[in-house]
Amino acid sequence: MNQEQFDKGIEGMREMSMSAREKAAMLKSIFDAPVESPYVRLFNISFFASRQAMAMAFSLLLVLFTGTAAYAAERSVPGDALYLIKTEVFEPIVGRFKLKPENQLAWEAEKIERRISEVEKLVSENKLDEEKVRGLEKKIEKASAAFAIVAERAASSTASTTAAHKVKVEKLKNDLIEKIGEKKEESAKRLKDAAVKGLDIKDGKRESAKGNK
Amino acid sequence: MAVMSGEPIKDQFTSFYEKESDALFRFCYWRVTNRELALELAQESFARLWAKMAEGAQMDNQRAFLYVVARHLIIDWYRKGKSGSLEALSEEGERPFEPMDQNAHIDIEVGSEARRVAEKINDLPEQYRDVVYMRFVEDLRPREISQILKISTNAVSVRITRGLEELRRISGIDKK
Repeated sequence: MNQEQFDKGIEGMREMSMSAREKAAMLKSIFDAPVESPYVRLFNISFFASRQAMAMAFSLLLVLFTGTAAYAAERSVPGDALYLIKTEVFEPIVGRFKLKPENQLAWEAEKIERRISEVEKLVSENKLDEEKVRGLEKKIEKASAAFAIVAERAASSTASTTAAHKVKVEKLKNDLIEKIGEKKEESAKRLKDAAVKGLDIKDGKRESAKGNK
Repeated sequence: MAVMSGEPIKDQFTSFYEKESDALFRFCYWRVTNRELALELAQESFARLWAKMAEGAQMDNQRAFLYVVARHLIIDWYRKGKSGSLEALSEEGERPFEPMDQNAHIDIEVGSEARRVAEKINDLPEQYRDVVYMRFVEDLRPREISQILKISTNAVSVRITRGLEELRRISGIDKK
């Protein structure tokens, strides 16, 4: 091949082109082809990505919140905001996991022990009032009823364990009632003392007023 | 990624298409030497560009995008018989062109000189093939070629010189 042939060849290559009809048909085909909407794409990627991120963040927050709430609720006593969560949410959940009758009995007994601890804490902090006493009494009744049901269910399979738990629960129940009773007596005494003191002050004031006259 | 309104993009694309369609078709044709196939490859390349533009993608160099797509499609076409997955081939990235298919149909309208030169260009090593084609057939400047191939202008100039020397050697053209 010489230079002239080469140059001619290059010219020939440059002449290769589409016809006007081919060009128009190609452009029409390009525009007619379905093009994915940018909004669909945004929805597909960003929306789900953000939803996924949101779900993960929410799960993390839920775990953190639940953990913190569980810890705080476990230390709560009647009158605290989280006490209902402790007795109406977490304790029933724990109870659900006690599948064997003897475990259920032990759990019911433990619940009464927990109530005793709460009473002790309230007494030590001098926070046990009439309303809380009524609430605790209701819970003891409820626990006793639950215990009776569980004990009946367990009686046939584990008679000895059930009997032992019954004795333990009865003792715990009596302890609790006793503690509440003591507290009631204390409260009554305190009220009486306060009333007497109030009368004394009143009398003292009256006498001093007379003296002044 | 900015989303623009439809009509200005369509006009912009149409204008670009009018300007570049023949060159891209030619580029495809001289690689596959089959008119119908070249038309398909060019159309697919433009369709992908249009899809990008329609979704609002910001493109620095539309011509570079077009040629990259076309090159990948040509590679896929050459390798189609050996691999079932064209998508996988495209994703593997840029690879050298295969030698021209000897059994491919040569358009009867094309002159014998053009065909011979095209064959010689296709016989060039991969690093020279595109720059020589773009410089001598499309008459692009080294700067424009560097933007399309995303290599430095200096590297383009070097490849043009060496590629031309190699083309002369394999074509048997004496230096003047």
